[in-house]
Amino acid sequence: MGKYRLPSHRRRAAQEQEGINLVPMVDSIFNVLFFLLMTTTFISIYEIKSPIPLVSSEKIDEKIEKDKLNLLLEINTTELVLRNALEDKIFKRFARDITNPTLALNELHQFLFALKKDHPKEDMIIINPDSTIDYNFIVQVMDAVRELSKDDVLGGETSSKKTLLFSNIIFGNLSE
Amino acid sequence: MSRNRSIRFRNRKKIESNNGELNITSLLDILSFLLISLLANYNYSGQVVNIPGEIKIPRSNSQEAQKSGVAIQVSMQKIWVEDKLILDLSNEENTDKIIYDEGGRRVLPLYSELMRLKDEISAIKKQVDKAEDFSGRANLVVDEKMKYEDLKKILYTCASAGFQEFKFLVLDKNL
Repeated sequence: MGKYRLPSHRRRAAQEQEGINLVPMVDSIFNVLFFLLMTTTFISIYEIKSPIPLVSSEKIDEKIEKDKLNLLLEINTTELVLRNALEDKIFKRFARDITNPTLALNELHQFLFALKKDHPKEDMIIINPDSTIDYNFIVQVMDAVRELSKDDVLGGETSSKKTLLFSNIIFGNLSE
Repeated sequence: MSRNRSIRFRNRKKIESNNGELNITSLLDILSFLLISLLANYNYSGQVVNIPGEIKIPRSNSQEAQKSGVAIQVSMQKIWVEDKLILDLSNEENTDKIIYDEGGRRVLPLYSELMRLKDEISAIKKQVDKAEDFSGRANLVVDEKMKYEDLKKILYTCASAGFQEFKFLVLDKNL
């Protein structure tokens, strides 16, 4: 007899209230989602900053001090020349290979990384690209000069801490 | 008739009505996933830069988020400032005009527009205290094939118009 007994009203009401009402939550998520979809940009655009351009009467010599590295990178069609901006001292030349353009950039990066290890406070470099150099290659050079690769470790800090190699890149030949 | 009244049939009816409800748990999962991915990739700077179809910007490893500034878009033939076309070298009418000054280093139409924009921002700042001041940042959207000879003129013009910081906009290399 008891097997076929109908559940009481109280028991049925308790059963109905068991689940959480998700409808308001779905409503609010839809609202936020709609707002985000309308305002978001699906292409990730980042920036490379280059502060304080040297234009007009200001001279390079006034900006840089003698006890620093005073790095100046000349970008030519055949090679990259890293030198001291004040003295006539060339740190190293990196020959550009047309078949493998990243080779010179990797060498430059490794050399600058070694320099940075010895001079951790240095963060400025002046670049002088040749007039025939295209913008894409300049950006690649800026990457090699600025960004640390995953394997690079500077003074116990890994590149995951967003430290940069030489972050202050200045275009030195704008007024020429 | 007797079948409808039977207890067995009543229970079956109840089961059928429960199955008719929409199960929104999986929908909620998808929505939450979308929400998280959109929030993770959202650009909080509020700056939306339009990249004209004629411009292909380079790719870089830089992970610095884009900040607000005056957008200067430069293709091989055209220059825009905040999406407003200010110079079109493909138009033959412009070939007779004087485009450069200061020994070919400064682009006149670009300089005039930047100065006008700078004055406009300063005038708004004078009238409204809470208005954003002139940042001095130039967000440069430049075609990857552009030679430094031409890029230098753009940089020089920006610098002579009072801009102090260049921001070269790039795409993520890993995407």
